[in-house]
Amino acid sequence: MATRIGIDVGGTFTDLIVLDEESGEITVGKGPSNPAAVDQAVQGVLAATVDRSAVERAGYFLHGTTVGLNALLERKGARVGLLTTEGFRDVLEIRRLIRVDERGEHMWDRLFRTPEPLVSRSLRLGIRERVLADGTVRQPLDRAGVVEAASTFAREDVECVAIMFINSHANPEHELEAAEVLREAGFAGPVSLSHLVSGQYREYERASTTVVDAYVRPAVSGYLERLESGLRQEAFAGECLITTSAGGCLSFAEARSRPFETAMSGPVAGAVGASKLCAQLRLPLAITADVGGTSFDTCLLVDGRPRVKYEGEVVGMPLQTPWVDVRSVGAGGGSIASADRGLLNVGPRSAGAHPGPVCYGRGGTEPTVTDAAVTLGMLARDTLASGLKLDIEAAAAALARLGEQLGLDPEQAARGVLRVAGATMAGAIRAVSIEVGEDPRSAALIAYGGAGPLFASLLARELGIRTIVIPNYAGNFSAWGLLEQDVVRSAALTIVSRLDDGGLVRAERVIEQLFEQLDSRAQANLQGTVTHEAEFDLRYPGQEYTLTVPVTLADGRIAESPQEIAGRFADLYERTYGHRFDVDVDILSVRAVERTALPHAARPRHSIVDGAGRAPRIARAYSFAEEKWCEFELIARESLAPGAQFAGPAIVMEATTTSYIDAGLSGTVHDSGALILTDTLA
Amino acid sequence: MDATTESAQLDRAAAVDPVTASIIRHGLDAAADQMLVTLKRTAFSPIIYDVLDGGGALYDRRFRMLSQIQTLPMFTGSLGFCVQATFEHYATGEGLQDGDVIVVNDPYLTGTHQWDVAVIVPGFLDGELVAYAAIKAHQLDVGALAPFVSNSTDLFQEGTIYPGVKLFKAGRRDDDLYRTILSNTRLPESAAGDLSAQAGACRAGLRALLELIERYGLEQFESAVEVILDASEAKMRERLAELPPGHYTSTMVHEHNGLEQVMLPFEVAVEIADGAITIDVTDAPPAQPGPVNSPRVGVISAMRCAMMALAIDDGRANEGYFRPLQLRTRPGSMFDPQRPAPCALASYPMYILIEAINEAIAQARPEHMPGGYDMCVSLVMWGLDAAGSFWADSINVVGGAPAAAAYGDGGGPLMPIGISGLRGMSWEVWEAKTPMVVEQADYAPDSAGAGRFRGGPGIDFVVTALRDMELTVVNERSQVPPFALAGGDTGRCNQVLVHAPDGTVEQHTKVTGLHVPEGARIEVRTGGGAAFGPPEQRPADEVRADVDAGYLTEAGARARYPHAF
Repeated sequence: MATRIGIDVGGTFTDLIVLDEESGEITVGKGPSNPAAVDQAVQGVLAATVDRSAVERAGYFLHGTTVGLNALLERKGARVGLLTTEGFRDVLEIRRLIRVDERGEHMWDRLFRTPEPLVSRSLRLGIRERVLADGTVRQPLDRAGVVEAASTFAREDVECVAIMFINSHANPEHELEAAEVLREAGFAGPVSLSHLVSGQYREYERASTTVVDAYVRPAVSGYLERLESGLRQEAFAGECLITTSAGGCLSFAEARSRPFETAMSGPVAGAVGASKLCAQLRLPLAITADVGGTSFDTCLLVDGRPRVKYEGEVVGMPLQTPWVDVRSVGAGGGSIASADRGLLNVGPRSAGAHPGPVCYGRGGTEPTVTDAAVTLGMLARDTLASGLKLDIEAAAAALARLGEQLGLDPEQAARGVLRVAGATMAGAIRAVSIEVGEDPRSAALIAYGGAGPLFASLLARELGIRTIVIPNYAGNFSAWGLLEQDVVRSAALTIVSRLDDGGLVRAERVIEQLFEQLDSRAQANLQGTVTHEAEFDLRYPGQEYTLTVPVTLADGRIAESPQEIAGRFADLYERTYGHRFDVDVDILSVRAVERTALPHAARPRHSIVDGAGRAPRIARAYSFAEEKWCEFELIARESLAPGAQFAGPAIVMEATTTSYIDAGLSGTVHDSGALILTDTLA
Repeated sequence: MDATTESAQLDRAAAVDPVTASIIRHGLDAAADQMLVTLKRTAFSPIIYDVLDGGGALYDRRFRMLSQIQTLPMFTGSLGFCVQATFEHYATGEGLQDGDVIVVNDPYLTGTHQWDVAVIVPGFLDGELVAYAAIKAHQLDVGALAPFVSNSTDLFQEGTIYPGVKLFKAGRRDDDLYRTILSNTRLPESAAGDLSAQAGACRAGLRALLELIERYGLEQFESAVEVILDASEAKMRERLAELPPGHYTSTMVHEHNGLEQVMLPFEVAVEIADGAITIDVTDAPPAQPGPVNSPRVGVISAMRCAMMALAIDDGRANEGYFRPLQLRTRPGSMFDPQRPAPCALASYPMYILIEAINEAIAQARPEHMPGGYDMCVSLVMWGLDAAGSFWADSINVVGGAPAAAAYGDGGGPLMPIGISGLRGMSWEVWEAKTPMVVEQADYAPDSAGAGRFRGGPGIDFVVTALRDMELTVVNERSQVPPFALAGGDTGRCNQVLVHAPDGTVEQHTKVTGLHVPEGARIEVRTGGGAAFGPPEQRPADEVRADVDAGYLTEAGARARYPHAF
């Protein structure tokens, strides 16, 4: 009688979901997060929700956490020493002179200053050694210099060392040798080697990734250790797994040796859950809409797979790691609306949890998205699940003040706030889809998070989307997404080689080495089907940006010709950019991926409360489709059995979220319990 | 406000509500973003995809900038003139058609030099011309007397000139023109790839813009544009009104005209009154025989860029911000040259002009501004690789030390605002494709200006040639450092040295096609940022911390901050 436990730690709440693998019974829980003692909050919510036997019986503990990210955000990481090739000591601080970050911020900021590097200059030491781009050694490693560095690090109480030598992707010998010399010289702490952390070229980005790895290591490692030992004390005997930025999970043991892989796992679990839903519902193209208190996160899923990028930035620091491409904009339930010289702004400022929206009555005075929704009746309630009584009049008064500045009546202002917030979200959705050549109109919208189901109708109309999916436990969906992840481990290396017979021979050798590298990492003993996959990052010669193409392996050998792979690349290029070139193709990097599917759990069973005898309840709310106030049917989510049908205007209520279903949408309940809404007007 | 404008505004208000206008503003920025994404991912030259040396924007049918891509501010303030000139040229003849793609690199239209090739695509809705997308991006070679020149004496030595010609007519490529363009460059594959990327990016942006117009209707869209531009204008006027009205001047020096070392001082006068500003550069030296002349439309763009940095906290530039800005130039001067005066180095006097405007405004409000920035040093190299193929590449910027401000020390090096979206090279990427080894790219101790808040340090950059190659160097600020504020010291100046294999060393400020033999080393010492406040006010513990970290040597610290010892 095994169970599977998923716990997702967010900024405000810690969400729990427990699945009984045989009966399919689901238990959910929610508690406040505690950034100062994350593991205690996790165990607290666990103890409050399920009894010890459920923990004892658990086969898997699946976890999503922001501990690594918090260490970066709050600058509470290790004291790190950095060894670089001599002459590149300041690579981390020179940062390629970047002013404008990947989100386009700081373009005009004349007083902008670079963030303090994670390693201060006196702990960044240059070592005489040099490898050229083709891997040949130009200058042997100065071992004495490394010994001297070790004594500096000892004197300065350095906890972790990062080593980034130029061109180590082409020949890692010097990084390995330097690590060995450090050990011989008595350095006992963890050492992060850039070729093992990333293996991809671009010295600044690789150095940044390696240093982040070293910097968050004690925080992540200590946290996972404490959490695991706490669980063991509760007689947990299963496997502990943690979500990575790439949208799979790793054993705690491996994550402790590669902590940077978990840095951006926050919004990823929802995308993984959406991916499973795509498979169940056979959705070839889907877009997620995860609306929380301060942000809107969206991700595109093609053939059920979330889009993955291979480089991104966290608080201005690049990370070279596979990374589910979840795009975030500052628009959520708490986003503040304001008048700006005759225009209406919504976000990115947020009222957050404190003071929160005006209607919470906790001192908020500026109208938020939630206030607008409340005054329009879209939440169909006057108390929150927590028992908080909503002050609808105060919300309306705040919107009236906003409207006055814009020449709008209070209701026009409220509608405007929702439309502008919706336009911001729709802009992010258009960006993620059009960037890869997909048309959002042919996608399904999967809405979750506290306010996602509230916005789904508006977003679908704005984008011309005809199908909306509101999954089970939409308010806790990120925790749900944890439960059915695969264990995914990967390693990559930049090789810069022509895609021809010779290039494939080289790539094949590298793939073999990368799988050996994966085998040598700390890992768990997992049951489940293991598959080996390979990917090439390909480009036209002269271009820099690559597209990632999966390559078929058979018994570790590449089972395709260069022409077949090049053909698939050209197809993808054309699909993405609208044209193709008739020239050679280059392999920039090669990636080895090992995927272990956890054993299938039973389909969750949903307890349905029979609502047949109950008289329908009605609430008045504004319909954006009808452009007037209408009567909305109020439906309790737990009364909806698979196969049930309903139609908008309706509001579906459940503990952690509210689905606003506008006129013109008709709904059915899928076997999984997900609500499928179809636009009958479009 | 007179009666006509008032009634016009009432009409606008009637035609669009503030909510729809706000939604349309989001749509404009999203459309510009799509241009950038497409450009980055499809360009062939690293100078475009990696360094992002290109700018672009969307325009309405009245050539007003609606939103720009987040790359090179100094590029986009001039593109509207380029779009207008193209329209006017064709207006008297065949006109513009759906599917046309126009190529322009005439510096007197684009505002910079022939290497910056602009691609313009007109957008039609139901047969009506309603908008334009334009992208100007730096191409590596346009058939000048060398891949890059600093000693040209007229426009014709600076590459092939495209005065605004249709590469595509109604969707069909003009193969005669295409072959002509590719025959006039040493790097035809790169030129073909980049032109195609620029056109594709323009189309992507226009597609999004046209969808927006179609959705809201042309009338409502254009009313929204008025509201959006008016809001931006109001913001600029508010910011200008925060500055004390008055007349401020700054004198700066351009050091070299490309042919010879010659000091070219000029005064910039800034007049602030009634929420508007006038920049007067009529004092500029006469147009030079060498290529340090900046066409007037480029100078307008530089002025807009300087003022935008003062007015915008977030969001995008648009035409509304430009309305309260006036420029006075003197025809025949460096800042208003007449064709065919050479323009290859047009950007350099423009960087200095931005600095002069900043210094003048700092007199009114020192706490509003940082001191002077180091300016970039550009190196362009070319040669034959081991297989005998021609290659060319450039290091556009190796410096960029920021100055201190009233709020603290200058931090790590940054792109100056005029080119704020650019990124420096990755040296591993560079080594993978050019026959060079980077020996050093580190901070130089004692390079920053000393003061209460010190400037950012300069960089010592050394590269060794593994094969014979040719080199063009463009280096300003080799004698006059960037300005300091409130009694701070200036930092060191830029310096470029070439060490021959036999040990001889030559210094260069501007040189074209210098032969660099295998084994020679090119050394660039980039300038340091200027300081804010007098050095004697810097606390001793901060001085000692800089010594510990190696930003200062012990001797350097004693010389600059004797009070700390």
